[in-house]
Amino acid sequence: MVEINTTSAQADLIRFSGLSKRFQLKRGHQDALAGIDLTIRRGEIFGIIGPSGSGKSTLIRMINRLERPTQGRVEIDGVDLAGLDGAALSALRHKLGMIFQQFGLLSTKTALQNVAFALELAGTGTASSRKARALELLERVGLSAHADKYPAQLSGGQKQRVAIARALANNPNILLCDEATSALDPYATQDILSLLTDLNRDLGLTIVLVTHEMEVVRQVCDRVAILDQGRLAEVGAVADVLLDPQSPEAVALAAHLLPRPENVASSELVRLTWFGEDRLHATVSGLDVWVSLHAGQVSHLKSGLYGDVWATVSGPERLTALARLRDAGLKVGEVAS
Amino acid sequence: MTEFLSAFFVNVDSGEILRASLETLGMLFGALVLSIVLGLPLGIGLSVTSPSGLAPNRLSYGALSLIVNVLRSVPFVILFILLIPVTLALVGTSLGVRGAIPPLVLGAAPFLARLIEMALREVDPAVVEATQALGASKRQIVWRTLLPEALPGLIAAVTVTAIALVSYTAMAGVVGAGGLGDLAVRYGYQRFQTDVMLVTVVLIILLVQGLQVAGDALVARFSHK
Ligand SMILES: Nc1ncnc2c1ncn2[C@@H]1O[C@H](COP(=O)(O)OP(=O)(O)OP(=O)(O)O)[C@@H](O)[C@H]1O
Ligand SMILES: [Mg+2]
Repeated sequence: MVEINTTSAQADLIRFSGLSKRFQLKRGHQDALAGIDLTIRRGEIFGIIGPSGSGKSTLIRMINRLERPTQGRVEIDGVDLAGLDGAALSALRHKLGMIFQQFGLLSTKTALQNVAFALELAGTGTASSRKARALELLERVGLSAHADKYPAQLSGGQKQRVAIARALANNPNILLCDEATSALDPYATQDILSLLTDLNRDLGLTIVLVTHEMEVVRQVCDRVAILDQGRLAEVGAVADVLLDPQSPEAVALAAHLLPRPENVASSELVRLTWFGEDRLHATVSGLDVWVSLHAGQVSHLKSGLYGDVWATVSGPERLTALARLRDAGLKVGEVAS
Repeated sequence: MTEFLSAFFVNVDSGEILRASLETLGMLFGALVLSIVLGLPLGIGLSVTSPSGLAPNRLSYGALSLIVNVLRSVPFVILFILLIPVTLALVGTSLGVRGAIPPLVLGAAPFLARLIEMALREVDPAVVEATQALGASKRQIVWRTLLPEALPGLIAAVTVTAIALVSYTAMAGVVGAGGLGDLAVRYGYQRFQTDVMLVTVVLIILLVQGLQVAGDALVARFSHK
Protein backbone atom coordinates (compact mmCIF):
# COMPACT_ATOMS: atom_id res chain seq x y z
CA MET A 1 0.00 0.00 0.00
CA VAL A 2 1.16 3.49 -0.74
CA GLU A 3 0.71 5.98 2.02
CA ILE A 4 1.09 9.52 0.82
CA ASN A 5 2.12 11.60 3.75
CA THR A 6 0.66 15.09 3.60
CA THR A 7 2.18 16.33 6.80
CA SER A 8 5.73 15.46 5.82
CA ALA A 9 8.00 18.47 5.84
CA GLN A 10 9.55 17.27 2.60
CA ALA A 11 8.74 19.84 -0.08
CA ASP A 12 9.14 17.49 -3.04
CA LEU A 13 6.02 15.45 -3.69
CA ILE A 14 6.29 13.99 -7.18
CA ARG A 15 9.61 13.22 -8.79
CA PHE A 16 10.29 12.03 -12.33
CA SER A 17 13.80 10.85 -12.98
CA GLY A 18 15.20 9.85 -16.35
CA LEU A 19 11.65 9.24 -17.47
CA SER A 20 11.15 8.03 -21.05
CA LYS A 21 8.19 6.59 -22.87
CA ARG A 22 8.31 4.90 -26.23
CA PHE A 23 5.11 3.77 -27.93
CA GLN A 24 5.47 0.85 -30.28
CA LEU A 25 3.54 1.54 -33.45
CA LYS A 26 2.58 -0.84 -36.25
CA ARG A 27 5.55 0.52 -38.14
CA GLY A 28 8.37 1.84 -35.99
CA HIS A 29 7.86 3.68 -32.73
CA GLN A 30 7.09 7.05 -31.21
CA ASP A 31 9.14 8.58 -28.41
CA ALA A 32 6.52 10.46 -26.42
CA LEU A 33 8.89 11.38 -23.57
CA ALA A 34 12.67 11.42 -23.58
CA GLY A 35 14.67 11.68 -20.37
CA ILE A 36 12.44 13.87 -18.21
CA ASP A 37 13.83 14.96 -14.81
CA LEU A 38 11.32 17.01 -12.91
CA THR A 39 10.08 17.63 -9.39
CA ILE A 40 6.64 18.83 -8.35
CA ARG A 41 6.37 20.35 -4.89
CA ARG A 42 3.78 19.79 -2.23
CA GLY A 43 0.92 22.30 -2.29
CA GLU A 44 1.78 24.00 -5.55
CA ILE A 45 -0.21 24.33 -8.74
CA PHE A 46 2.15 23.00 -11.34
CA GLY A 47 1.51 23.64 -15.03
CA ILE A 48 2.62 21.44 -17.91
CA ILE A 49 2.40 23.22 -21.24
CA GLY A 50 3.48 22.46 -24.77
CA PRO A 51 2.16 22.01 -28.29
CA SER A 52 -0.07 19.11 -29.34
CA GLY A 53 1.81 15.83 -29.28
CA SER A 54 4.57 17.13 -27.02
CA GLY A 55 3.87 14.46 -24.39
CA LYS A 56 1.86 16.40 -21.79
CA SER A 57 -0.84 13.78 -21.36
CA THR A 58 1.67 10.97 -21.36
CA LEU A 59 3.60 12.71 -18.57
CA ILE A 60 0.65 13.48 -16.30
CA ARG A 61 -0.77 9.98 -16.81
CA MET A 62 2.50 8.56 -15.45
CA ILE A 63 1.56 9.97 -12.04
CA ASN A 64 -1.45 7.68 -11.61
CA ARG A 65 0.03 5.00 -13.79
CA LEU A 66 -2.51 5.17 -16.59
CA GLU A 67 0.76 5.11 -18.53
CA ARG A 68 3.88 3.16 -17.61
CA PRO A 69 7.40 4.42 -18.31
CA THR A 70 9.66 2.46 -20.61
CA GLN A 71 12.61 3.93 -18.70
CA GLY A 72 13.15 5.94 -15.57
CA ARG A 73 11.17 6.35 -12.39
CA VAL A 74 8.16 8.09 -10.97
CA GLU A 75 8.09 8.60 -7.21
CA ILE A 76 5.37 10.05 -5.04
CA ASP A 77 6.61 11.07 -1.63
CA GLY A 78 9.67 8.92 -2.11
CA VAL A 79 7.67 5.82 -3.03
CA ASP A 80 8.63 4.34 -6.38
CA LEU A 81 5.50 3.51 -8.39
CA ALA A 82 7.21 0.74 -10.34
CA GLY A 83 5.78 -2.65 -9.56
CA LEU A 84 2.50 -1.30 -8.19
CA ASP A 85 -0.27 -3.57 -9.36
CA GLY A 86 -3.74 -4.77 -8.52
CA ALA A 87 -4.94 -3.62 -5.11
CA ALA A 88 -1.89 -1.41 -4.47
CA LEU A 89 -2.45 0.40 -7.75
CA SER A 90 -6.14 0.88 -6.94
CA ALA A 91 -5.20 2.24 -3.52
CA LEU A 92 -2.81 4.71 -5.14
CA ARG A 93 -5.46 5.87 -7.59
CA HIS A 94 -8.01 6.39 -4.83
CA LYS A 95 -5.56 8.95 -3.44
CA LEU A 96 -5.02 10.70 -6.77
CA GLY A 97 -7.94 12.61 -8.26
CA MET A 98 -7.98 13.16 -11.99
CA ILE A 99 -10.17 15.22 -14.31
CA PHE A 100 -10.23 15.23 -18.09
CA GLN A 101 -11.18 17.38 -21.04
CA GLN A 102 -14.12 15.10 -21.81
CA PHE A 103 -15.35 14.91 -18.16
CA GLY A 104 -15.84 11.12 -18.23
CA LEU A 105 -19.06 11.12 -16.22
CA LEU A 106 -21.30 8.06 -16.39
CA SER A 107 -24.28 9.10 -18.49
CA THR A 108 -26.55 6.61 -16.72
CA LYS A 109 -25.91 8.08 -13.27
CA THR A 110 -27.03 11.37 -11.75
CA ALA A 111 -24.50 13.94 -10.54
CA LEU A 112 -24.89 12.60 -7.01
CA GLN A 113 -24.54 8.98 -8.11
CA ASN A 114 -21.44 9.84 -10.12
CA VAL A 115 -19.77 11.28 -7.04
CA ALA A 116 -20.91 8.41 -4.84
CA PHE A 117 -19.55 6.00 -7.48
CA ALA A 118 -15.98 7.00 -6.57
CA LEU A 119 -16.70 6.05 -2.94
CA GLU A 120 -18.32 2.76 -3.97
CA LEU A 121 -15.30 1.80 -6.05
CA ALA A 122 -13.05 2.50 -3.07
CA GLY A 123 -15.42 0.51 -0.85
CA THR A 124 -15.85 3.29 1.70
CA GLY A 125 -18.86 3.81 3.95
CA THR A 126 -22.47 2.71 3.76
CA ALA A 127 -24.93 3.72 1.05
CA SER A 128 -26.29 6.53 3.22
CA SER A 129 -22.91 7.82 4.38
CA ARG A 130 -21.73 7.82 0.76
CA LYS A 131 -24.79 9.80 -0.25
CA ALA A 132 -24.18 12.33 2.51
CA ARG A 133 -20.54 12.69 1.56
CA ALA A 134 -21.42 13.05 -2.14
CA LEU A 135 -23.89 15.81 -1.32
CA GLU A 136 -21.28 17.57 0.77
CA LEU A 137 -18.83 17.42 -2.15
CA LEU A 138 -21.43 18.71 -4.62
CA GLU A 139 -22.06 21.56 -2.21
CA ARG A 140 -18.32 22.26 -2.12
CA VAL A 141 -18.30 22.73 -5.91
CA GLY A 142 -21.55 24.71 -5.84
CA LEU A 143 -23.79 22.13 -7.45
CA SER A 144 -26.05 20.86 -4.68
CA ALA A 145 -29.10 22.17 -6.58
CA HIS A 146 -28.28 19.86 -9.48
CA ALA A 147 -27.59 16.68 -7.54
CA ASP A 148 -30.32 14.67 -9.23
CA LYS A 149 -29.62 15.73 -12.79
CA TYR A 150 -28.03 13.46 -15.35
CA PRO A 151 -24.86 14.68 -17.11
CA ALA A 152 -26.84 15.30 -20.32
CA GLN A 153 -28.86 17.91 -18.41
CA LEU A 154 -25.78 19.83 -17.22
CA SER A 155 -23.61 22.44 -18.95
CA GLY A 156 -19.95 21.74 -19.67
CA GLY A 157 -18.78 23.76 -16.69
CA GLN A 158 -21.27 21.99 -14.41
CA LYS A 159 -20.13 18.59 -15.69
CA GLN A 160 -16.54 19.49 -14.90
CA ARG A 161 -17.60 20.52 -11.38
CA VAL A 162 -19.22 17.14 -10.89
CA ALA A 163 -16.03 15.52 -12.17
CA ILE A 164 -14.00 17.58 -9.67
CA ALA A 165 -16.33 16.56 -6.83
CA ARG A 166 -15.93 12.94 -7.88
CA ALA A 167 -12.15 13.27 -8.10
CA LEU A 168 -12.06 14.68 -4.56
CA ALA A 169 -14.36 12.03 -3.07
CA ASN A 170 -11.63 9.88 -1.57
CA ASN A 171 -9.70 12.83 -0.10
CA PRO A 172 -6.78 12.79 -2.49
CA ASN A 173 -3.88 15.13 -1.90
CA ILE A 174 -3.05 15.43 -5.56
CA LEU A 175 -5.42 16.48 -8.33
CA LEU A 176 -4.40 15.80 -11.92
CA CYS A 177 -6.05 17.92 -14.61
CA ASP A 178 -5.55 16.99 -18.26
CA GLU A 179 -6.87 19.88 -20.39
CA ALA A 180 -9.71 20.25 -17.90
CA THR A 181 -10.86 23.57 -19.34
CA SER A 182 -10.15 22.97 -23.02
CA ALA A 183 -13.73 21.98 -23.85
CA LEU A 184 -15.23 24.93 -21.96
CA ASP A 185 -16.26 28.43 -22.98
CA PRO A 186 -14.30 31.37 -21.47
CA TYR A 187 -16.79 31.92 -18.63
CA ALA A 188 -16.85 28.29 -17.57
CA THR A 189 -13.06 28.23 -17.88
CA GLN A 190 -12.72 31.11 -15.39
CA ASP A 191 -15.20 29.40 -13.15
CA ILE A 192 -13.27 26.12 -13.05
CA LEU A 193 -9.89 27.87 -12.71
CA SER A 194 -11.05 29.83 -9.67
CA LEU A 195 -12.50 26.66 -8.15
CA LEU A 196 -9.13 24.94 -8.62
CA THR A 197 -7.33 27.90 -7.03
CA ASP A 198 -9.72 27.78 -4.04
CA LEU A 199 -9.23 24.05 -3.59
CA ASN A 200 -5.47 24.50 -3.71
CA ARG A 201 -5.60 27.23 -1.07
CA ASP A 202 -8.27 25.74 1.22
CA LEU A 203 -7.33 22.07 1.14
CA GLY A 204 -3.64 22.38 0.42
CA LEU A 205 -4.31 20.24 -2.63
CA THR A 206 -1.33 19.82 -4.95
CA ILE A 207 -2.58 20.36 -8.50
CA VAL A 208 -0.86 19.24 -11.67
CA LEU A 209 -2.44 20.96 -14.62
CA VAL A 210 -1.87 20.15 -18.27
CA THR A 211 -2.85 22.83 -20.74
CA HIS A 212 -1.89 24.23 -24.12
CA GLU A 213 -2.87 27.76 -23.08
CA MET A 214 -0.24 30.03 -21.50
CA GLU A 215 -3.11 32.19 -20.28
CA VAL A 216 -4.24 29.37 -17.99
CA VAL A 217 -0.71 28.93 -16.66
CA ARG A 218 -0.37 32.67 -16.07
CA GLN A 219 -3.57 32.79 -14.07
CA VAL A 220 -3.27 29.86 -11.73
CA CYS A 221 0.13 28.16 -11.74
CA ASP A 222 3.03 28.62 -9.34
CA ARG A 223 5.52 26.88 -11.58
CA VAL A 224 5.45 25.56 -15.09
CA ALA A 225 7.24 23.00 -17.22
CA ILE A 226 7.41 23.50 -20.96
CA LEU A 227 7.48 20.34 -23.03
CA ASP A 228 8.51 20.13 -26.62
CA GLN A 229 8.62 16.88 -28.58
CA GLY A 230 8.93 14.84 -25.42
CA ARG A 231 11.78 16.90 -23.99
CA LEU A 232 11.68 19.30 -21.07
CA ALA A 233 12.43 22.67 -22.69
CA GLU A 234 12.26 24.74 -19.52
CA VAL A 235 10.95 24.64 -15.98
CA GLY A 236 10.58 27.43 -13.46
CA ALA A 237 8.38 29.85 -11.58
CA VAL A 238 5.74 31.34 -13.88
CA ALA A 239 6.98 34.90 -13.32
CA ASP A 240 10.54 33.89 -14.24
CA VAL A 241 9.50 32.03 -17.34
CA LEU A 242 7.40 34.98 -18.52
CA LEU A 243 9.87 37.70 -17.64
CA ASP A 244 13.08 35.97 -18.47
CA PRO A 245 12.42 33.02 -20.78
CA GLN A 246 15.53 30.97 -21.51
CA SER A 247 14.44 28.54 -24.18
CA PRO A 248 13.04 29.38 -27.63
CA GLU A 249 9.86 27.54 -26.62
CA ALA A 250 9.39 29.76 -23.55
CA VAL A 251 10.11 32.88 -25.60
CA ALA A 252 7.46 31.81 -28.09
CA LEU A 253 4.90 31.15 -25.35
CA ALA A 254 5.52 34.50 -23.65
CA ALA A 255 5.27 36.26 -27.01
CA HIS A 256 2.06 34.41 -27.77
CA LEU A 257 0.48 35.71 -24.58
CA LEU A 258 0.53 39.24 -26.04
CA PRO A 259 1.05 39.34 -29.82
CA ARG A 260 2.72 42.39 -31.36
CA PRO A 261 0.04 44.89 -32.40
CA GLU A 262 -0.23 44.70 -36.17
CA ASN A 263 -1.36 48.23 -36.88
CA VAL A 264 1.68 49.91 -35.36
CA ALA A 265 4.48 50.42 -37.84
CA SER A 266 6.67 52.53 -35.59
CA SER A 267 10.26 51.47 -35.13
CA GLU A 268 9.98 52.90 -31.61
CA LEU A 269 7.65 50.12 -30.50
CA VAL A 270 8.93 48.23 -27.45
CA ARG A 271 7.59 45.41 -25.35
CA LEU A 272 7.80 46.14 -21.63
CA THR A 273 7.32 43.46 -19.03
CA TRP A 274 7.71 43.71 -15.29
CA PHE A 275 6.83 42.00 -12.08
CA GLY A 276 5.08 43.91 -9.30
CA GLU A 277 3.36 47.30 -9.19
CA ASP A 278 3.08 49.47 -12.31
CA ARG A 279 6.26 51.61 -12.41
CA LEU A 280 6.13 52.62 -16.06
CA HIS A 281 4.95 56.22 -15.83
CA ALA A 282 6.70 56.99 -12.55
CA THR A 283 10.02 55.94 -14.06
CA VAL A 284 9.86 58.13 -17.15
CA SER A 285 8.13 61.16 -15.68
CA GLY A 286 10.13 64.33 -16.05
CA LEU A 287 11.91 63.11 -19.19
CA ASP A 288 11.19 64.61 -22.58
CA VAL A 289 9.47 61.53 -24.01
CA TRP A 290 5.98 60.45 -25.03
CA VAL A 291 4.78 57.05 -24.09
CA SER A 292 1.72 55.60 -25.77
CA LEU A 293 0.33 52.21 -24.94
CA HIS A 294 -1.01 50.01 -27.75
CA ALA A 295 -1.88 46.75 -26.11
CA GLY A 296 -1.30 44.96 -22.86
CA GLN A 297 -2.40 44.51 -19.34
CA VAL A 298 -1.36 44.32 -15.74
CA SER A 299 -2.60 41.00 -14.49
CA HIS A 300 -2.41 38.84 -11.43
CA LEU A 301 -0.05 35.94 -11.38
CA LYS A 302 -0.40 33.65 -8.43
CA SER A 303 2.75 35.25 -7.05
CA GLY A 304 1.79 38.86 -7.66
CA LEU A 305 1.22 41.49 -10.33
CA TYR A 306 2.64 41.07 -13.79
CA GLY A 307 2.71 43.86 -16.35
CA ASP A 308 3.05 43.22 -20.06
CA VAL A 309 2.53 46.00 -22.63
CA TRP A 310 3.42 47.07 -26.13
CA ALA A 311 4.24 50.79 -26.12
CA THR A 312 5.92 53.34 -28.33
CA VAL A 313 8.45 55.45 -26.47
CA SER A 314 9.47 58.43 -28.55
CA GLY A 315 11.03 61.85 -28.10
CA PRO A 316 14.49 63.36 -27.64
CA GLU A 317 15.28 61.49 -24.44
CA ARG A 318 14.05 58.11 -25.69
CA LEU A 319 17.26 56.20 -24.99
CA THR A 320 17.60 57.67 -21.50
CA ALA A 321 14.04 56.66 -20.78
CA LEU A 322 14.68 53.09 -21.92
CA ALA A 323 17.82 52.89 -19.80
CA ARG A 324 15.92 54.12 -16.74
CA LEU A 325 13.20 51.57 -17.35
CA ARG A 326 15.80 48.81 -17.44
CA ASP A 327 17.38 50.12 -14.25
CA ALA A 328 13.96 50.09 -12.59
CA GLY A 329 13.75 46.36 -13.30
CA LEU A 330 11.44 46.43 -16.31
CA LYS A 331 12.31 44.21 -19.18
CA VAL A 332 12.59 46.07 -22.47
CA GLY A 333 12.27 43.96 -25.57
CA GLU A 334 12.20 44.45 -29.36
CA VAL A 335 13.97 47.79 -29.55
CA ALA A 336 14.73 48.85 -33.08
CA SER A 337 17.82 51.11 -33.04
CA MET B 1 -69.53 -8.19 -42.54
CA THR B 2 -69.00 -10.85 -39.87
CA GLU B 3 -70.64 -13.37 -42.17
CA PHE B 4 -68.36 -12.38 -44.97
CA LEU B 5 -65.32 -12.73 -42.72
CA SER B 6 -66.28 -16.12 -41.39
CA ALA B 7 -67.01 -17.17 -44.97
CA PHE B 8 -63.58 -16.02 -46.09
CA PHE B 9 -61.68 -17.42 -43.11
CA VAL B 10 -63.52 -20.71 -43.40
CA ASN B 11 -60.48 -22.86 -42.63
CA VAL B 12 -59.27 -20.91 -39.62
CA ASP B 13 -59.48 -22.97 -36.45
CA SER B 14 -58.95 -20.57 -33.57
CA GLY B 15 -57.93 -23.36 -31.21
CA GLU B 16 -55.15 -24.45 -33.50
CA ILE B 17 -54.03 -20.88 -34.09
CA LEU B 18 -53.83 -20.35 -30.34
CA ARG B 19 -51.80 -23.51 -29.83
CA ALA B 20 -49.40 -22.59 -32.61
CA SER B 21 -49.03 -19.06 -31.25
CA LEU B 22 -48.17 -20.36 -27.81
CA GLU B 23 -45.60 -22.71 -29.32
CA THR B 24 -44.00 -19.84 -31.19
CA LEU B 25 -43.92 -17.69 -28.05
CA GLY B 26 -42.47 -20.60 -26.07
CA MET B 27 -39.68 -21.14 -28.61
CA LEU B 28 -39.04 -17.41 -28.85
CA PHE B 29 -38.72 -16.64 -25.16
CA GLY B 30 -37.09 -19.93 -24.20
CA ALA B 31 -34.44 -19.42 -26.88
CA LEU B 32 -34.08 -15.70 -26.13
CA VAL B 33 -33.37 -16.24 -22.44
CA LEU B 34 -30.81 -18.94 -23.16
CA SER B 35 -29.26 -16.83 -25.94
CA ILE B 36 -28.73 -14.01 -23.44
CA VAL B 37 -27.25 -16.42 -20.89
CA LEU B 38 -24.79 -17.65 -23.53
CA GLY B 39 -24.39 -14.51 -25.64
CA LEU B 40 -23.69 -12.02 -22.85
CA PRO B 41 -20.52 -13.68 -21.52
CA LEU B 42 -19.44 -14.37 -25.08
CA GLY B 43 -20.00 -10.73 -26.05
CA ILE B 44 -18.16 -9.49 -22.95
CA GLY B 45 -15.32 -11.89 -23.74
CA LEU B 46 -15.08 -10.61 -27.30
CA SER B 47 -15.11 -6.98 -26.14
CA VAL B 48 -12.57 -7.44 -23.33
CA THR B 49 -10.07 -9.45 -25.38
CA SER B 50 -10.40 -7.41 -28.59
CA PRO B 51 -7.31 -5.44 -29.65
CA SER B 52 -8.83 -2.21 -28.30
CA GLY B 53 -10.33 -3.92 -25.22
CA LEU B 54 -9.51 -3.84 -21.52
CA ALA B 55 -7.31 -6.93 -21.66
CA PRO B 56 -6.33 -7.49 -25.29
CA ASN B 57 -5.55 -11.13 -26.03
CA ARG B 58 -5.03 -12.06 -29.63
CA LEU B 59 -5.44 -15.80 -29.06
CA SER B 60 -8.66 -15.68 -27.02
CA TYR B 61 -10.18 -13.09 -29.30
CA GLY B 62 -9.28 -15.10 -32.38
CA ALA B 63 -10.78 -18.29 -30.94
CA LEU B 64 -14.03 -16.64 -29.77
CA SER B 65 -14.32 -14.80 -33.05
CA LEU B 66 -13.90 -18.00 -35.03
CA ILE B 67 -16.63 -19.84 -33.09
CA VAL B 68 -19.01 -16.93 -33.55
CA ASN B 69 -18.27 -16.59 -37.25
CA VAL B 70 -18.66 -20.30 -37.97
CA LEU B 71 -22.02 -20.52 -36.22
CA ARG B 72 -23.21 -17.35 -37.89
CA SER B 73 -22.23 -18.40 -41.39
CA VAL B 74 -24.30 -21.61 -41.41
CA PRO B 75 -27.86 -20.93 -42.68
CA PHE B 76 -30.32 -21.59 -39.89
CA VAL B 77 -32.21 -24.47 -41.52
CA ILE B 78 -28.95 -26.29 -42.19
CA LEU B 79 -27.73 -25.59 -38.65
CA PHE B 80 -30.98 -27.08 -37.37
CA ILE B 81 -30.48 -30.31 -39.33
CA LEU B 82 -26.74 -30.51 -38.57
CA LEU B 83 -27.44 -30.19 -34.87
CA ILE B 84 -30.06 -32.97 -34.67
CA PRO B 85 -27.68 -35.45 -32.98
CA VAL B 86 -26.63 -32.80 -30.47
CA THR B 87 -30.24 -31.79 -29.88
CA LEU B 88 -31.22 -35.41 -29.30
CA ALA B 89 -28.44 -35.81 -26.78
CA LEU B 90 -29.35 -32.58 -24.99
CA VAL B 91 -33.16 -32.67 -24.80
CA GLY B 92 -34.08 -36.16 -26.02
CA THR B 93 -36.05 -35.04 -29.07
CA SER B 94 -35.47 -33.00 -32.17
CA LEU B 95 -39.16 -32.19 -32.55
CA GLY B 96 -41.49 -29.67 -31.02
CA VAL B 97 -40.64 -26.63 -28.97
CA ARG B 98 -38.03 -28.46 -26.92
CA GLY B 99 -36.26 -29.84 -29.94
CA ALA B 100 -36.15 -26.40 -31.53
CA ILE B 101 -34.54 -24.59 -28.64
CA PRO B 102 -30.92 -25.86 -28.88
CA PRO B 103 -30.51 -24.95 -32.58
CA LEU B 104 -32.32 -21.64 -32.05
CA VAL B 105 -29.93 -20.75 -29.22
CA LEU B 106 -26.85 -21.77 -31.18
CA GLY B 107 -28.09 -19.71 -34.09
CA ALA B 108 -28.99 -16.62 -32.07
CA ALA B 109 -26.39 -16.48 -29.27
CA PRO B 110 -23.37 -15.76 -31.54
CA PHE B 111 -25.40 -13.11 -33.36
CA LEU B 112 -26.30 -11.51 -30.02
CA ALA B 113 -22.67 -11.78 -28.85
CA ARG B 114 -21.49 -9.71 -31.83
CA LEU B 115 -24.17 -7.10 -31.20
CA ILE B 116 -23.16 -6.96 -27.52
CA GLU B 117 -19.51 -6.54 -28.49
CA MET B 118 -20.52 -3.61 -30.69
CA ALA B 119 -22.71 -2.05 -27.97
CA LEU B 120 -19.82 -2.25 -25.48
CA ARG B 121 -17.46 -0.69 -28.00
CA GLU B 122 -19.83 2.28 -28.26
CA VAL B 123 -19.21 3.23 -24.62
CA ASP B 124 -17.32 6.54 -24.41
CA PRO B 125 -13.62 5.71 -23.82
CA ALA B 126 -13.36 8.85 -21.67
CA VAL B 127 -15.77 7.26 -19.19
CA VAL B 128 -13.76 4.05 -19.07
CA GLU B 129 -10.56 6.02 -18.55
CA ALA B 130 -12.10 8.12 -15.79
CA THR B 131 -13.28 4.95 -14.03
CA GLN B 132 -9.78 3.54 -14.34
CA ALA B 133 -8.36 6.70 -12.81
CA LEU B 134 -10.76 6.25 -9.89
CA GLY B 135 -8.99 3.01 -9.09
CA ALA B 136 -11.53 0.56 -10.52
CA SER B 137 -10.37 -3.00 -11.18
CA LYS B 138 -11.00 -4.53 -14.61
CA ARG B 139 -13.93 -6.46 -13.18
CA GLN B 140 -15.41 -3.26 -11.75
CA ILE B 141 -14.93 -1.50 -15.07
CA VAL B 142 -16.88 -4.22 -16.87
CA TRP B 143 -19.69 -4.57 -14.33
CA ARG B 144 -19.94 -1.07 -12.95
CA THR B 145 -19.15 1.03 -16.00
CA LEU B 146 -19.24 -0.78 -19.34
CA LEU B 147 -22.44 -2.79 -18.90
CA PRO B 148 -24.53 -0.04 -17.23
CA GLU B 149 -23.32 2.57 -19.73
CA ALA B 150 -24.11 0.24 -22.64
CA LEU B 151 -27.54 -0.74 -21.28
CA PRO B 152 -29.60 1.02 -23.98
CA GLY B 153 -27.38 -0.56 -26.65
CA LEU B 154 -27.68 -3.96 -24.97
CA ILE B 155 -31.48 -3.72 -24.93
CA ALA B 156 -31.46 -2.79 -28.61
CA ALA B 157 -29.21 -5.79 -29.29
CA VAL B 158 -31.64 -8.12 -27.49
CA THR B 159 -34.55 -6.63 -29.45
CA VAL B 160 -32.84 -7.23 -32.79
CA THR B 161 -31.98 -10.77 -31.71
CA ALA B 162 -35.56 -11.46 -30.60
CA ILE B 163 -36.84 -10.36 -34.00
CA ALA B 164 -34.29 -12.55 -35.77
CA LEU B 165 -35.45 -15.41 -33.53
CA VAL B 166 -39.04 -14.94 -34.72
CA SER B 167 -38.01 -15.70 -38.26
CA TYR B 168 -35.80 -18.58 -37.06
CA THR B 169 -38.82 -20.08 -35.24
CA ALA B 170 -40.83 -19.88 -38.46
CA MET B 171 -38.07 -21.76 -40.28
CA ALA B 172 -37.83 -24.24 -37.44
CA GLY B 173 -41.54 -24.83 -37.92
CA VAL B 174 -40.86 -26.13 -41.41
CA VAL B 175 -38.57 -28.84 -40.05
CA GLY B 176 -40.79 -30.12 -37.29
CA ALA B 177 -40.78 -27.60 -34.48
CA GLY B 178 -44.44 -26.61 -34.65
CA GLY B 179 -45.64 -23.07 -34.09
CA LEU B 180 -46.97 -20.51 -36.54
CA GLY B 181 -44.40 -21.32 -39.20
CA ASP B 182 -45.49 -24.95 -39.17
CA LEU B 183 -49.13 -23.89 -39.50
CA ALA B 184 -48.39 -21.62 -42.43
CA VAL B 185 -46.58 -24.37 -44.29
CA ARG B 186 -48.95 -27.23 -43.55
CA TYR B 187 -52.17 -25.39 -44.33
CA GLY B 188 -51.20 -22.43 -46.39
CA TYR B 189 -48.65 -24.08 -48.63
CA GLN B 190 -49.46 -27.75 -48.74
CA ARG B 191 -53.28 -27.42 -48.66
CA PHE B 192 -53.72 -24.07 -50.37
CA GLN B 193 -55.59 -22.61 -47.41
CA THR B 194 -54.64 -19.03 -48.06
CA ASP B 195 -56.73 -17.77 -45.14
CA VAL B 196 -54.66 -19.72 -42.60
CA MET B 197 -51.48 -18.48 -44.20
CA LEU B 198 -52.76 -14.91 -43.98
CA VAL B 199 -53.68 -15.17 -40.31
CA THR B 200 -50.29 -16.63 -39.35
CA VAL B 201 -48.43 -13.97 -41.29
CA VAL B 202 -50.45 -11.20 -39.63
CA LEU B 203 -49.76 -12.72 -36.21
CA ILE B 204 -46.04 -12.90 -36.92
CA ILE B 205 -46.03 -9.28 -38.08
CA LEU B 206 -47.84 -8.26 -34.91
CA LEU B 207 -45.32 -10.16 -32.80
CA VAL B 208 -42.35 -8.49 -34.49
CA GLN B 209 -43.99 -5.09 -34.22
CA GLY B 210 -44.74 -5.67 -30.53
CA LEU B 211 -41.14 -6.67 -29.82
CA GLN B 212 -39.79 -3.60 -31.59
CA VAL B 213 -42.14 -1.22 -29.78
CA ALA B 214 -41.36 -2.78 -26.40
CA GLY B 215 -37.60 -2.72 -27.13
CA ASP B 216 -37.69 0.93 -28.21
CA ALA B 217 -39.65 1.88 -25.10
CA LEU B 218 -37.07 0.19 -22.86
CA VAL B 219 -34.18 1.85 -24.70
CA ALA B 220 -35.84 5.24 -24.19
CA ARG B 221 -36.49 4.43 -20.54
CA PHE B 222 -32.83 3.62 -19.79
CA SER B 223 -31.09 6.13 -21.97
CA HIS B 224 -30.08 9.47 -20.47
CA LYS B 225 -28.19 10.96 -23.41
N1 LIG C 1 -1.32 5.01 -26.86
C1 LIG C 1 -0.48 5.56 -27.76
N2 LIG C 1 0.02 4.82 -28.76
C2 LIG C 1 0.88 5.37 -29.66
N3 LIG C 1 1.31 6.63 -29.62
C3 LIG C 1 0.85 7.42 -28.65
C4 LIG C 1 -0.06 6.92 -27.66
N4 LIG C 1 -0.35 7.94 -26.80
C5 LIG C 1 0.36 9.00 -27.23
N5 LIG C 1 1.09 8.70 -28.33
C6 LIG C 1 2.00 9.61 -29.05
O1 LIG C 1 2.87 10.18 -28.11
C7 LIG C 1 3.06 11.56 -28.37
C8 LIG C 1 2.66 12.38 -27.18
O2 LIG C 1 1.28 12.25 -26.97
P1 LIG C 1 0.50 13.00 -25.83
O3 LIG C 1 -0.91 12.57 -25.90
O4 LIG C 1 1.20 12.83 -24.54
O5 LIG C 1 0.62 14.52 -26.31
P2 LIG C 1 -0.07 15.82 -25.71
O6 LIG C 1 1.02 16.78 -25.44
O7 LIG C 1 -0.97 15.46 -24.60
O8 LIG C 1 -0.90 16.32 -26.96
P3 LIG C 1 -2.34 17.05 -27.01
O9 LIG C 1 -2.11 18.49 -26.67
O10 LIG C 1 -2.76 16.89 -28.43
O11 LIG C 1 -3.23 16.35 -26.04
C9 LIG C 1 2.24 11.87 -29.61
O12 LIG C 1 3.09 11.82 -30.72
C10 LIG C 1 1.24 10.76 -29.67
O13 LIG C 1 0.90 10.47 -31.00
MG1 LIG D 1 -3.08 15.53 -24.29
